[in-house]
Amino acid sequence: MKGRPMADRSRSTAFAGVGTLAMVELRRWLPRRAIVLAVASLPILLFVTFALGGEADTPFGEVLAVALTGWSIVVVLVVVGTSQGVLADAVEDGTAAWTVSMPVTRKAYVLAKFVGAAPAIALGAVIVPGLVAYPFLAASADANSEFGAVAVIDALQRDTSAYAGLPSLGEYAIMLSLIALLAVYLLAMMLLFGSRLTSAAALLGFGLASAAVLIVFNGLGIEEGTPGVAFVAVLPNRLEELAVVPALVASAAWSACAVVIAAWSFDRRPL
Amino acid sequence: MSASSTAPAIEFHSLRKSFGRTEVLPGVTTEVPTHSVFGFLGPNGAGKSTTMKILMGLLRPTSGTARVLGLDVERDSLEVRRRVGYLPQSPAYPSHLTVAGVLGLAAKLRGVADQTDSLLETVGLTDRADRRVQGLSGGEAQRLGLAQALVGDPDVLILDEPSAGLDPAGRREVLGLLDDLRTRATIFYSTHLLDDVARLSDTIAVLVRGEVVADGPIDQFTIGDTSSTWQVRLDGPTAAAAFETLARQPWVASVDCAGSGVATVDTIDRTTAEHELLPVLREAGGHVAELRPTRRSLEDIYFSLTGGTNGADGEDGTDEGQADG
Repeated sequence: MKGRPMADRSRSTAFAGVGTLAMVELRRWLPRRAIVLAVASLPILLFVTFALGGEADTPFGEVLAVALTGWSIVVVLVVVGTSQGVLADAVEDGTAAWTVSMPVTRKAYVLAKFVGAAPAIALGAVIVPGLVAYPFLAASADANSEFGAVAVIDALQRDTSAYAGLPSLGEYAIMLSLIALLAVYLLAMMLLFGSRLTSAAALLGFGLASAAVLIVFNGLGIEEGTPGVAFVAVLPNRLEELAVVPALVASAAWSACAVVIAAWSFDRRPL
Repeated sequence: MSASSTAPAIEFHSLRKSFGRTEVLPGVTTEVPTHSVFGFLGPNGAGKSTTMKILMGLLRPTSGTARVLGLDVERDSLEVRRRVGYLPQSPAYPSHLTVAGVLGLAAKLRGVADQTDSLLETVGLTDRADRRVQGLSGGEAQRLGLAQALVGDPDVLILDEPSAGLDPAGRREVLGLLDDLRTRATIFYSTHLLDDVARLSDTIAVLVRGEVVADGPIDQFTIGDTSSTWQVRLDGPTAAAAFETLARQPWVASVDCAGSGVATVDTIDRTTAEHELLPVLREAGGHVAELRPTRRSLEDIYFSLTGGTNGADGEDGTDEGQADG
Protein backbone atom coordinates (compact mmCIF):
# COMPACT_ATOMS: atom_id res chain seq x y z
CA MET A 1 0.00 0.00 0.00
CA LYS A 2 2.47 2.62 -1.15
CA GLY A 3 1.12 6.16 -0.92
CA ARG A 4 0.83 7.58 -4.40
CA PRO A 5 2.42 10.97 -4.84
CA MET A 6 -0.41 13.46 -5.18
CA ALA A 7 1.73 16.25 -6.50
CA ASP A 8 5.46 16.67 -6.36
CA ARG A 9 6.65 14.27 -3.70
CA SER A 10 10.07 15.81 -3.73
CA ARG A 11 8.76 19.23 -2.78
CA SER A 12 10.96 20.53 -0.08
CA THR A 13 10.30 24.21 -0.07
CA ALA A 14 10.31 25.91 3.26
CA PHE A 15 6.69 26.94 2.96
CA ALA A 16 5.02 23.76 1.70
CA GLY A 17 1.88 23.06 3.69
CA VAL A 18 1.21 26.67 4.72
CA GLY A 19 -2.14 26.79 2.93
CA THR A 20 -3.31 23.49 4.40
CA LEU A 21 -2.28 24.40 7.93
CA ALA A 22 -3.68 27.94 7.61
CA MET A 23 -7.08 26.48 6.73
CA VAL A 24 -6.86 24.19 9.76
CA GLU A 25 -6.11 27.20 11.96
CA LEU A 26 -8.87 29.28 10.40
CA ARG A 27 -11.38 26.49 10.99
CA ARG A 28 -10.21 26.34 14.58
CA TRP A 29 -11.30 29.97 14.97
CA LEU A 30 -14.40 30.04 12.79
CA PRO A 31 -17.14 30.36 13.52
CA ARG A 32 -17.35 29.87 17.25
CA ARG A 33 -14.34 31.80 18.52
CA ALA A 34 -14.82 34.64 16.05
CA ILE A 35 -18.45 35.02 17.08
CA VAL A 36 -17.42 35.14 20.72
CA LEU A 37 -14.93 37.89 19.82
CA ALA A 38 -17.61 39.87 17.99
CA VAL A 39 -20.16 39.48 20.72
CA ALA A 40 -17.61 40.61 23.29
CA SER A 41 -16.45 43.56 21.23
CA LEU A 42 -19.64 45.09 19.79
CA PRO A 43 -21.48 46.13 22.95
CA ILE A 44 -18.40 47.93 24.22
CA LEU A 45 -18.20 50.08 21.09
CA LEU A 46 -21.89 50.88 21.24
CA PHE A 47 -21.86 51.60 24.94
CA VAL A 48 -18.93 53.99 24.70
CA THR A 49 -20.39 55.82 21.72
CA PHE A 50 -23.85 56.23 23.20
CA ALA A 51 -22.48 57.22 26.56
CA LEU A 52 -20.43 59.98 24.99
CA GLY A 53 -22.95 60.85 22.28
CA GLY A 54 -25.50 61.97 24.79
CA GLU A 55 -23.42 65.00 25.75
CA ALA A 56 -24.83 68.25 24.43
CA ASP A 57 -23.01 70.37 21.85
CA THR A 58 -20.33 67.77 21.13
CA PRO A 59 -19.66 67.25 17.41
CA PHE A 60 -20.31 63.62 16.65
CA GLY A 61 -17.01 63.31 14.79
CA GLU A 62 -15.17 63.94 18.05
CA VAL A 63 -17.44 61.59 19.92
CA LEU A 64 -16.75 58.87 17.38
CA ALA A 65 -13.01 59.49 17.46
CA VAL A 66 -12.88 59.11 21.22
CA ALA A 67 -15.19 56.09 21.08
CA LEU A 68 -13.15 54.31 18.42
CA THR A 69 -9.87 55.05 20.18
CA GLY A 70 -11.28 53.68 23.41
CA TRP A 71 -12.65 50.71 21.54
CA SER A 72 -9.22 50.12 19.97
CA ILE A 73 -7.76 49.70 23.43
CA VAL A 74 -10.50 47.22 24.26
CA VAL A 75 -9.76 45.36 21.01
CA VAL A 76 -6.09 45.25 22.00
CA LEU A 77 -6.94 43.64 25.31
CA VAL A 78 -9.35 41.18 23.69
CA VAL A 79 -6.80 40.18 21.05
CA VAL A 80 -3.99 39.78 23.56
CA GLY A 81 -6.24 37.64 25.75
CA THR A 82 -7.57 35.42 22.99
CA SER A 83 -4.44 34.98 20.89
CA GLN A 84 -1.94 34.30 23.66
CA GLY A 85 -2.33 30.55 23.15
CA VAL A 86 -2.17 30.45 19.36
CA LEU A 87 1.34 29.01 19.42
CA ALA A 88 2.01 28.40 23.10
CA ASP A 89 -0.98 26.09 23.57
CA ALA A 90 -0.02 24.07 20.52
CA VAL A 91 3.46 23.60 21.97
CA GLU A 92 2.10 22.76 25.38
CA ASP A 93 -0.46 20.17 24.24
CA GLY A 94 1.82 18.50 21.68
CA THR A 95 -0.09 19.56 18.55
CA ALA A 96 2.90 21.54 17.32
CA ALA A 97 5.25 18.58 17.79
CA TRP A 98 2.89 16.30 15.88
CA THR A 99 2.50 18.76 13.05
CA VAL A 100 6.19 19.45 12.57
CA SER A 101 6.93 15.73 12.69
CA MET A 102 5.34 15.81 9.23
CA PRO A 103 7.37 17.13 6.30
CA VAL A 104 6.57 20.71 7.26
CA THR A 105 9.09 23.33 8.30
CA ARG A 106 8.59 25.21 11.51
CA LYS A 107 8.66 28.47 9.57
CA ALA A 108 5.71 27.22 7.54
CA TYR A 109 3.93 26.22 10.73
CA VAL A 110 4.31 29.66 12.34
CA LEU A 111 3.33 31.43 9.13
CA ALA A 112 0.25 29.21 8.80
CA LYS A 113 -0.77 30.02 12.36
CA PHE A 114 -0.58 33.71 11.52
CA VAL A 115 -2.27 33.48 8.13
CA GLY A 116 -5.07 31.34 9.57
CA ALA A 117 -5.73 33.31 12.75
CA ALA A 118 -5.32 36.85 11.38
CA PRO A 119 -8.50 37.01 9.27
CA ALA A 120 -10.53 35.38 12.04
CA ILE A 121 -9.31 37.89 14.61
CA ALA A 122 -9.65 40.86 12.27
CA LEU A 123 -13.17 39.85 11.28
CA GLY A 124 -14.33 38.73 14.70
CA ALA A 125 -12.82 41.43 16.89
CA VAL A 126 -13.00 44.45 14.56
CA ILE A 127 -14.60 44.31 11.12
CA VAL A 128 -17.88 42.52 11.88
CA PRO A 129 -18.72 44.32 15.15
CA GLY A 130 -17.54 47.61 13.63
CA LEU A 131 -19.80 47.29 10.61
CA VAL A 132 -22.72 46.08 12.70
CA ALA A 133 -22.24 49.15 14.88
CA TYR A 134 -22.35 51.63 11.97
CA PRO A 135 -26.12 52.06 11.78
CA PHE A 136 -26.27 52.42 15.53
CA LEU A 137 -23.59 55.09 15.36
CA ALA A 138 -25.50 56.84 12.62
CA ALA A 139 -28.54 56.86 14.83
CA SER A 140 -26.51 58.21 17.69
CA ALA A 141 -25.12 60.95 15.45
CA ASP A 142 -28.57 62.38 15.24
CA ALA A 143 -28.47 64.29 18.48
CA ASN A 144 -32.19 64.58 18.56
CA SER A 145 -32.94 60.93 18.12
CA GLU A 146 -33.72 58.61 20.92
CA PHE A 147 -31.57 55.56 21.44
CA GLY A 148 -33.40 52.49 20.27
CA ALA A 149 -34.47 50.37 17.37
CA VAL A 150 -36.74 53.08 15.97
CA ALA A 151 -33.84 55.52 15.82
CA VAL A 152 -31.61 53.00 14.07
CA ILE A 153 -34.23 52.26 11.42
CA ASP A 154 -34.89 55.95 11.06
CA ALA A 155 -31.20 56.69 10.59
CA LEU A 156 -30.76 53.95 8.04
CA GLN A 157 -33.52 55.46 5.93
CA ARG A 158 -31.93 58.88 5.85
CA ASP A 159 -28.84 60.33 4.22
CA THR A 160 -26.39 60.05 7.07
CA SER A 161 -23.78 62.14 5.28
CA ALA A 162 -25.79 65.14 6.34
CA TYR A 163 -24.76 64.61 9.96
CA ALA A 164 -21.83 66.71 11.07
CA GLY A 165 -18.80 64.59 11.74
CA LEU A 166 -20.23 61.22 10.84
CA PRO A 167 -17.77 59.58 8.46
CA SER A 168 -18.97 57.97 5.29
CA LEU A 169 -19.07 54.18 5.26
CA GLY A 170 -15.90 54.22 3.16
CA GLU A 171 -14.01 56.39 5.64
CA TYR A 172 -15.36 54.32 8.47
CA ALA A 173 -14.16 51.14 6.75
CA ILE A 174 -10.65 52.60 6.52
CA MET A 175 -10.73 53.33 10.23
CA LEU A 176 -11.82 49.77 10.93
CA SER A 177 -9.07 48.43 8.67
CA LEU A 178 -6.47 50.30 10.66
CA ILE A 179 -7.83 48.95 13.93
CA ALA A 180 -7.91 45.48 12.35
CA LEU A 181 -4.25 45.86 11.38
CA LEU A 182 -3.48 46.81 14.93
CA ALA A 183 -5.20 43.61 16.06
CA VAL A 184 -3.22 41.59 13.51
CA TYR A 185 0.02 43.21 14.66
CA LEU A 186 -0.73 42.15 18.23
CA LEU A 187 -1.46 38.63 17.02
CA ALA A 188 1.99 38.63 15.42
CA MET A 189 3.51 39.82 18.69
CA MET A 190 1.72 37.05 20.59
CA LEU A 191 3.13 34.52 18.11
CA LEU A 192 6.56 35.99 18.74
CA PHE A 193 6.22 35.67 22.50
CA GLY A 194 4.62 32.24 22.14
CA SER A 195 7.58 31.03 20.12
CA ARG A 196 9.65 31.03 23.31
CA LEU A 197 7.20 31.06 26.22
CA THR A 198 4.47 28.71 27.39
CA SER A 199 3.42 30.41 30.63
CA ALA A 200 0.01 32.05 30.13
CA ALA A 201 0.80 34.73 32.71
CA ALA A 202 4.09 35.61 31.03
CA LEU A 203 2.43 35.75 27.62
CA LEU A 204 -0.32 37.99 28.92
CA GLY A 205 2.25 40.24 30.60
CA PHE A 206 4.38 40.58 27.48
CA GLY A 207 1.29 41.14 25.33
CA LEU A 208 -0.02 43.90 27.53
CA ALA A 209 3.43 45.44 27.77
CA SER A 210 3.74 45.56 23.99
CA ALA A 211 0.31 47.20 23.79
CA ALA A 212 1.38 49.73 26.41
CA VAL A 213 4.48 50.55 24.35
CA LEU A 214 2.24 51.41 21.40
CA ILE A 215 0.16 53.72 23.53
CA VAL A 216 3.30 55.43 24.82
CA PHE A 217 4.58 55.83 21.24
CA ASN A 218 1.32 57.52 20.34
CA GLY A 219 1.51 59.72 23.39
CA LEU A 220 5.00 60.81 22.38
CA GLY A 221 3.75 61.74 18.94
CA ILE A 222 6.00 59.28 17.11
CA GLU A 223 3.11 57.23 15.96
CA GLU A 224 3.58 57.46 12.23
CA GLY A 225 6.19 54.74 12.01
CA THR A 226 4.58 52.35 14.43
CA PRO A 227 1.53 50.10 14.24
CA GLY A 228 0.03 52.28 16.95
CA VAL A 229 -0.66 54.86 14.28
CA ALA A 230 -4.04 53.21 14.08
CA PHE A 231 -4.98 54.87 17.33
CA VAL A 232 -4.52 58.27 15.75
CA ALA A 233 -5.62 57.49 12.23
CA VAL A 234 -9.10 56.67 13.42
CA LEU A 235 -9.61 60.32 14.24
CA PRO A 236 -11.83 61.39 11.36
CA ASN A 237 -10.49 64.89 11.24
CA ARG A 238 -6.99 63.52 10.72
CA LEU A 239 -7.81 61.05 8.02
CA GLU A 240 -6.79 63.50 5.36
CA GLU A 241 -3.95 65.21 7.18
CA LEU A 242 -2.38 61.93 8.24
CA ALA A 243 -1.61 59.77 5.25
CA VAL A 244 -3.35 56.43 5.64
CA VAL A 245 -0.99 54.53 3.38
CA PRO A 246 2.08 54.93 5.63
CA ALA A 247 -0.07 53.79 8.52
CA LEU A 248 -1.10 50.67 6.63
CA VAL A 249 2.44 50.00 5.50
CA ALA A 250 3.85 50.54 8.98
CA SER A 251 1.34 48.18 10.56
CA ALA A 252 1.88 45.51 7.90
CA ALA A 253 5.67 45.84 8.05
CA TRP A 254 5.83 45.57 11.82
CA SER A 255 3.51 42.56 11.72
CA ALA A 256 5.67 40.88 9.08
CA CYS A 257 8.82 41.54 11.15
CA ALA A 258 7.21 40.01 14.23
CA VAL A 259 6.15 36.89 12.30
CA VAL A 260 9.60 36.48 10.74
CA ILE A 261 11.29 36.73 14.13
CA ALA A 262 8.70 34.36 15.62
CA ALA A 263 9.45 31.80 12.88
CA TRP A 264 13.19 32.17 13.41
CA SER A 265 12.80 31.81 17.17
CA PHE A 266 10.44 28.83 16.93
CA ASP A 267 12.86 27.09 14.61
CA ARG A 268 15.29 26.81 17.51
CA ARG A 269 12.85 25.74 20.15
CA PRO A 270 12.93 22.19 21.53
CA LEU A 271 9.55 20.49 21.15
CA MET B 1 19.24 9.48 -1.77
CA SER B 2 18.32 5.97 -0.77
CA ALA B 3 20.08 3.65 1.55
CA SER B 4 21.24 0.28 0.32
CA SER B 5 19.40 -2.76 1.66
CA THR B 6 22.32 -3.78 3.84
CA ALA B 7 22.79 -0.36 5.40
CA PRO B 8 21.13 0.19 8.75
CA ALA B 9 17.78 1.92 8.60
CA ILE B 10 18.73 4.11 11.55
CA GLU B 11 22.16 4.80 12.98
CA PHE B 12 23.44 7.25 15.50
CA HIS B 13 26.97 7.80 16.65
CA SER B 14 28.08 9.56 19.82
CA LEU B 15 24.74 11.33 19.95
CA ARG B 16 24.75 13.87 22.76
CA LYS B 17 21.99 16.12 24.04
CA SER B 18 22.18 18.58 26.87
CA PHE B 19 19.56 20.95 28.22
CA GLY B 20 21.56 23.68 29.85
CA ARG B 21 23.87 21.94 32.27
CA THR B 22 21.83 18.75 32.33
CA GLU B 23 23.19 16.10 30.03
CA VAL B 24 20.34 13.82 28.98
CA LEU B 25 22.27 11.82 26.39
CA PRO B 26 26.01 11.56 27.07
CA GLY B 27 26.76 9.85 23.76
CA VAL B 28 24.52 7.18 22.29
CA THR B 29 25.75 4.90 19.54
CA THR B 30 23.70 2.14 17.96
CA GLU B 31 22.34 0.87 14.67
CA VAL B 32 18.87 -0.32 13.75
CA PRO B 33 18.99 -3.00 11.02
CA THR B 34 16.72 -2.53 8.02
CA HIS B 35 13.45 -4.49 8.27
CA SER B 36 13.98 -5.20 11.96
CA VAL B 37 11.57 -4.67 14.80
CA PHE B 38 13.89 -2.84 17.14
CA GLY B 39 12.92 -2.48 20.78
CA PHE B 40 14.50 0.52 22.46
CA LEU B 41 14.42 -0.46 26.10
CA GLY B 42 15.13 1.55 29.16
CA PRO B 43 13.71 2.90 32.38
CA ASN B 44 11.93 6.25 32.58
CA GLY B 45 14.33 9.11 32.06
CA ALA B 46 16.85 6.99 30.17
CA GLY B 47 16.66 9.22 27.10
CA LYS B 48 14.51 7.13 24.75
CA SER B 49 12.08 9.91 23.86
CA THR B 50 14.90 12.43 23.54
CA THR B 51 16.68 10.16 21.05
CA MET B 52 13.51 9.72 19.01
CA LYS B 53 12.79 13.44 19.03
CA ILE B 54 16.28 14.10 17.68
CA LEU B 55 15.64 11.61 14.87
CA MET B 56 12.40 13.46 14.01
CA GLY B 57 14.00 16.91 14.10
CA LEU B 58 12.02 17.98 17.18
CA LEU B 59 15.25 18.42 19.12
CA ARG B 60 18.71 19.32 17.89
CA PRO B 61 21.58 17.17 19.11
CA THR B 62 24.31 18.92 21.04
CA SER B 63 26.83 16.85 19.11
CA GLY B 64 27.14 13.56 17.28
CA THR B 65 25.46 12.32 14.14
CA ALA B 66 22.20 10.55 13.42
CA ARG B 67 21.09 9.14 10.09
CA VAL B 68 17.80 7.63 8.99
CA LEU B 69 17.74 5.72 5.70
CA GLY B 70 21.16 7.20 5.04
CA LEU B 71 19.85 10.75 5.48
CA ASP B 72 21.30 13.16 8.00
CA VAL B 73 18.52 14.03 10.45
CA GLU B 74 19.58 17.67 10.65
CA ARG B 75 20.58 18.45 7.08
CA ASP B 76 17.89 16.33 5.40
CA SER B 77 15.26 16.70 8.08
CA LEU B 78 12.32 17.27 5.72
CA GLU B 79 13.14 14.20 3.64
CA VAL B 80 13.58 12.12 6.81
CA ARG B 81 10.16 13.22 8.04
CA ARG B 82 8.66 12.45 4.64
CA ARG B 83 9.91 8.86 4.78
CA VAL B 84 9.36 8.18 8.46
CA GLY B 85 6.11 7.67 10.33
CA TYR B 86 6.24 8.91 13.91
CA LEU B 87 4.04 8.22 16.90
CA PRO B 88 4.83 10.61 19.75
CA GLN B 89 4.56 9.43 23.33
CA SER B 90 1.44 11.55 23.87
CA PRO B 91 0.09 12.29 20.41
CA ALA B 92 -2.09 15.40 20.12
CA TYR B 93 -4.01 16.65 17.10
CA PRO B 94 -5.98 19.82 16.39
CA SER B 95 -8.95 19.24 18.68
CA HIS B 96 -11.63 20.34 16.22
CA LEU B 97 -10.65 17.66 13.69
CA THR B 98 -12.35 14.31 13.33
CA VAL B 99 -10.49 11.01 13.13
CA ALA B 100 -10.79 11.04 9.34
CA GLY B 101 -9.81 14.71 9.33
CA VAL B 102 -6.52 13.94 11.10
CA LEU B 103 -5.64 11.28 8.53
CA GLY B 104 -6.65 13.56 5.67
CA LEU B 105 -4.50 16.35 7.07
CA ALA B 106 -1.54 14.00 7.48
CA ALA B 107 -1.91 12.89 3.84
CA LYS B 108 -2.01 16.49 2.62
CA LEU B 109 1.04 17.44 4.63
CA ARG B 110 2.92 14.40 3.36
CA GLY B 111 1.83 15.13 -0.18
CA VAL B 112 0.32 11.69 -0.75
CA ALA B 113 -3.10 10.49 -1.80
CA ASP B 114 -5.74 10.20 0.88
CA GLN B 115 -5.63 6.68 2.39
CA THR B 116 -8.12 7.37 5.14
CA ASP B 117 -10.52 4.51 4.47
CA SER B 118 -7.88 1.82 4.19
CA LEU B 119 -5.95 3.07 7.21
CA LEU B 120 -9.08 3.26 9.34
CA GLU B 121 -9.80 -0.32 8.38
CA THR B 122 -6.23 -1.34 9.19
CA VAL B 123 -6.44 0.05 12.71
CA GLY B 124 -10.10 -0.84 13.26
CA LEU B 125 -11.44 2.69 13.53
CA THR B 126 -13.80 2.75 10.57
CA ASP B 127 -16.82 3.32 12.79
CA ARG B 128 -15.05 6.24 14.50
CA ALA B 129 -14.21 8.12 11.30
CA ASP B 130 -16.49 11.08 12.03
CA ARG B 131 -15.81 11.28 15.73
CA ARG B 132 -13.81 14.24 17.02
CA VAL B 133 -10.38 13.31 18.28
CA GLN B 134 -11.22 14.79 21.67
CA GLY B 135 -13.81 12.06 22.24
CA LEU B 136 -11.56 9.06 21.64
CA SER B 137 -10.62 6.57 24.32
CA GLY B 138 -6.95 5.95 25.09
CA GLY B 139 -6.82 2.83 22.94
CA GLU B 140 -8.59 4.52 20.04
CA ALA B 141 -6.28 7.51 20.24
CA GLN B 142 -3.27 5.22 20.16
CA ARG B 143 -4.64 3.36 17.14
CA LEU B 144 -5.25 6.69 15.43
CA GLY B 145 -1.63 7.52 16.28
CA LEU B 146 -0.50 4.39 14.49
CA ALA B 147 -2.77 5.13 11.53
CA GLN B 148 -1.38 8.64 11.06
CA ALA B 149 2.15 7.24 11.33
CA LEU B 150 1.31 4.88 8.46
CA VAL B 151 0.12 7.62 6.11
CA GLY B 152 2.23 7.49 2.95
CA ASP B 153 3.44 3.97 3.75
CA PRO B 154 6.72 5.10 5.32
CA ASP B 155 9.89 3.03 5.15
CA VAL B 156 10.57 3.49 8.85
CA LEU B 157 8.23 3.73 11.82
CA ILE B 158 9.46 5.48 14.96
CA LEU B 159 7.02 4.76 17.75
CA ASP B 160 7.44 6.20 21.23
CA GLU B 161 5.85 3.78 23.67
CA PRO B 162 3.08 2.60 21.33
CA SER B 163 1.36 0.45 23.93
CA ALA B 164 1.74 2.75 26.92
CA GLY B 165 -1.39 3.49 28.90
CA LEU B 166 -3.49 0.86 27.19
CA ASP B 167 -5.60 -1.78 28.89
CA PRO B 168 -4.68 -5.42 28.14
CA ALA B 169 -7.13 -5.67 25.23
CA GLY B 170 -5.92 -2.41 23.69
CA ARG B 171 -2.33 -3.48 24.15
CA ARG B 172 -2.97 -6.79 22.45
CA GLU B 173 -4.59 -4.99 19.52
CA VAL B 174 -1.69 -2.56 19.10
CA LEU B 175 0.94 -5.30 19.37
CA GLY B 176 -0.96 -7.38 16.85
CA LEU B 177 -1.03 -4.41 14.53
CA LEU B 178 2.71 -3.87 14.87
CA ASP B 179 3.28 -7.57 14.25
CA ASP B 180 1.38 -7.23 10.97
CA LEU B 181 3.46 -4.21 10.02
CA ARG B 182 6.84 -5.89 10.42
CA THR B 183 6.95 -6.88 6.76
CA ARG B 184 6.16 -3.35 5.57
CA ALA B 185 8.62 -1.18 7.46
CA THR B 186 11.51 -1.05 9.85
CA ILE B 187 9.98 -0.51 13.28
CA PHE B 188 11.98 1.36 15.91
CA TYR B 189 9.95 1.60 19.08
CA SER B 190 10.59 2.46 22.68
CA THR B 191 9.09 0.74 25.66
CA HIS B 192 9.75 -0.39 29.16
CA LEU B 193 7.25 -3.24 28.91
CA LEU B 194 9.38 -6.36 28.64
CA ASP B 195 6.49 -8.58 27.59
CA ASP B 196 6.02 -6.39 24.52
CA VAL B 197 9.68 -6.72 23.63
CA ALA B 198 9.71 -10.47 24.07
CA ARG B 199 6.67 -10.81 21.85
CA LEU B 200 7.56 -8.35 19.13
CA SER B 201 11.23 -7.51 18.82
CA ASP B 202 13.94 -9.27 16.91
CA THR B 203 16.60 -6.75 17.95
CA ILE B 204 16.92 -4.63 21.08
CA ALA B 205 19.06 -1.96 22.66
CA VAL B 206 19.01 -1.16 26.35
CA LEU B 207 19.45 2.49 27.25
CA VAL B 208 20.42 3.44 30.78
CA ARG B 209 21.03 7.05 31.77
CA GLY B 210 21.54 8.04 28.17
CA GLU B 211 23.96 5.26 27.28
CA VAL B 212 23.37 2.07 25.31
CA VAL B 213 24.59 -0.63 27.68
CA ALA B 214 23.71 -3.54 25.36
CA ASP B 215 22.32 -4.04 21.90
CA GLY B 216 21.92 -6.81 19.36
CA PRO B 217 19.57 -9.62 18.30
CA ILE B 218 17.26 -10.58 21.13
CA ASP B 219 18.38 -14.23 21.01
CA GLN B 220 21.87 -13.05 21.84
CA PHE B 221 20.50 -11.90 25.18
CA THR B 222 18.04 -14.65 25.98
CA ILE B 223 20.17 -17.62 24.85
CA GLY B 224 23.52 -16.00 25.40
CA ASP B 225 26.34 -15.11 23.09
CA THR B 226 29.56 -16.40 24.63
CA SER B 227 28.24 -17.66 27.93
CA SER B 228 25.40 -20.15 28.25
CA THR B 229 23.31 -21.91 30.86
CA TRP B 230 22.30 -25.56 30.68
CA GLN B 231 19.74 -27.67 32.43
CA VAL B 232 21.11 -31.20 33.16
CA ARG B 233 19.37 -34.28 34.59
CA LEU B 234 21.38 -37.43 35.29
CA ASP B 235 20.01 -40.83 36.25
CA GLY B 236 21.65 -43.25 38.65
CA PRO B 237 23.93 -43.02 41.70
CA THR B 238 26.87 -41.52 39.78
CA ALA B 239 25.15 -38.17 39.24
CA ALA B 240 26.83 -36.32 42.14
CA ALA B 241 30.30 -37.46 41.12
CA ALA B 242 29.67 -36.50 37.52
CA PHE B 243 28.58 -33.01 38.56
CA GLU B 244 31.73 -32.66 40.68
CA THR B 245 33.86 -33.58 37.67
CA LEU B 246 31.95 -31.11 35.53
CA ALA B 247 32.45 -28.30 38.05
CA ARG B 248 36.25 -28.70 37.73
CA GLN B 249 36.25 -27.96 33.99
CA PRO B 250 37.84 -24.57 33.15
CA TRP B 251 34.93 -23.54 30.90
CA VAL B 252 32.34 -24.15 33.63
CA ALA B 253 31.46 -21.22 35.84
CA SER B 254 29.20 -23.00 38.28
CA VAL B 255 27.13 -26.13 38.82
CA ASP B 256 24.05 -25.60 40.93
CA CYS B 257 22.70 -28.97 42.07
CA ALA B 258 18.98 -29.03 42.86
CA GLY B 259 18.93 -32.67 44.02
CA SER B 260 17.50 -35.80 42.33
CA GLY B 261 20.26 -35.62 39.70
CA VAL B 262 19.19 -32.22 38.44
CA ALA B 263 21.59 -29.27 38.10
CA THR B 264 21.87 -25.91 36.41
CA VAL B 265 25.25 -25.46 34.76
CA ASP B 266 26.60 -22.00 33.89
CA THR B 267 29.42 -21.99 31.35
CA ILE B 268 31.71 -19.20 30.24
CA ASP B 269 32.33 -20.56 26.75
CA ARG B 270 29.27 -21.50 24.79
CA THR B 271 31.08 -23.23 21.92
CA THR B 272 33.21 -25.40 24.19
CA ALA B 273 30.17 -26.27 26.28
CA GLU B 274 28.26 -27.41 23.20
CA HIS B 275 31.12 -29.78 22.27
CA GLU B 276 32.38 -30.92 25.69
CA LEU B 277 29.43 -31.00 28.04
CA LEU B 278 27.98 -34.34 27.01
CA PRO B 279 31.36 -36.22 26.65
CA VAL B 280 32.59 -34.97 30.03
CA LEU B 281 29.42 -36.10 31.78
CA ARG B 282 29.56 -39.52 30.12
CA GLU B 283 33.26 -40.01 30.90
CA ALA B 284 32.49 -39.14 34.52
CA GLY B 285 29.96 -41.98 34.59
CA GLY B 286 26.82 -39.93 34.31
CA HIS B 287 23.74 -41.30 32.59
CA VAL B 288 22.41 -38.24 30.81
CA ALA B 289 18.60 -38.23 30.82
CA GLU B 290 18.20 -34.58 29.84
CA LEU B 291 20.53 -31.86 28.57
CA ARG B 292 19.22 -28.60 27.19
CA PRO B 293 20.26 -24.95 27.02
CA THR B 294 18.03 -22.66 29.03
CA ARG B 295 16.88 -19.22 28.01
CA ARG B 296 17.42 -16.47 30.49
CA SER B 297 14.34 -14.40 31.13
CA LEU B 298 14.36 -10.99 29.51
CA GLU B 299 13.42 -9.54 32.86
CA ASP B 300 16.56 -10.97 34.47
CA ILE B 301 18.69 -9.62 31.66
CA TYR B 302 17.04 -6.21 31.79
CA PHE B 303 17.49 -5.82 35.51
CA SER B 304 21.08 -7.04 35.36
CA LEU B 305 21.80 -4.41 32.69
CA THR B 306 19.93 -1.56 34.33
CA GLY B 307 20.96 -2.43 37.84
CA GLY B 308 17.32 -2.81 38.75
CA THR B 309 16.71 0.90 38.35
CA ASN B 310 13.45 2.46 37.37
CA GLY B 311 15.26 5.66 36.50
CA ALA B 312 13.95 9.14 36.99
CA ASP B 313 10.23 9.42 36.50
CA GLY B 314 8.78 11.58 33.77
CA GLU B 315 11.17 11.60 30.92
CA ASP B 316 9.10 14.01 28.96
CA GLY B 317 8.72 16.25 31.92
CA THR B 318 12.48 16.42 32.11
CA ASP B 319 12.75 17.25 28.44
CA GLU B 320 10.17 19.97 28.51
CA GLY B 321 11.31 21.42 31.75
CA GLN B 322 14.84 21.73 30.50
CA ALA B 323 13.72 22.99 27.14
CA ASP B 324 11.86 25.83 28.72
CA GLY B 325 14.54 26.56 31.15
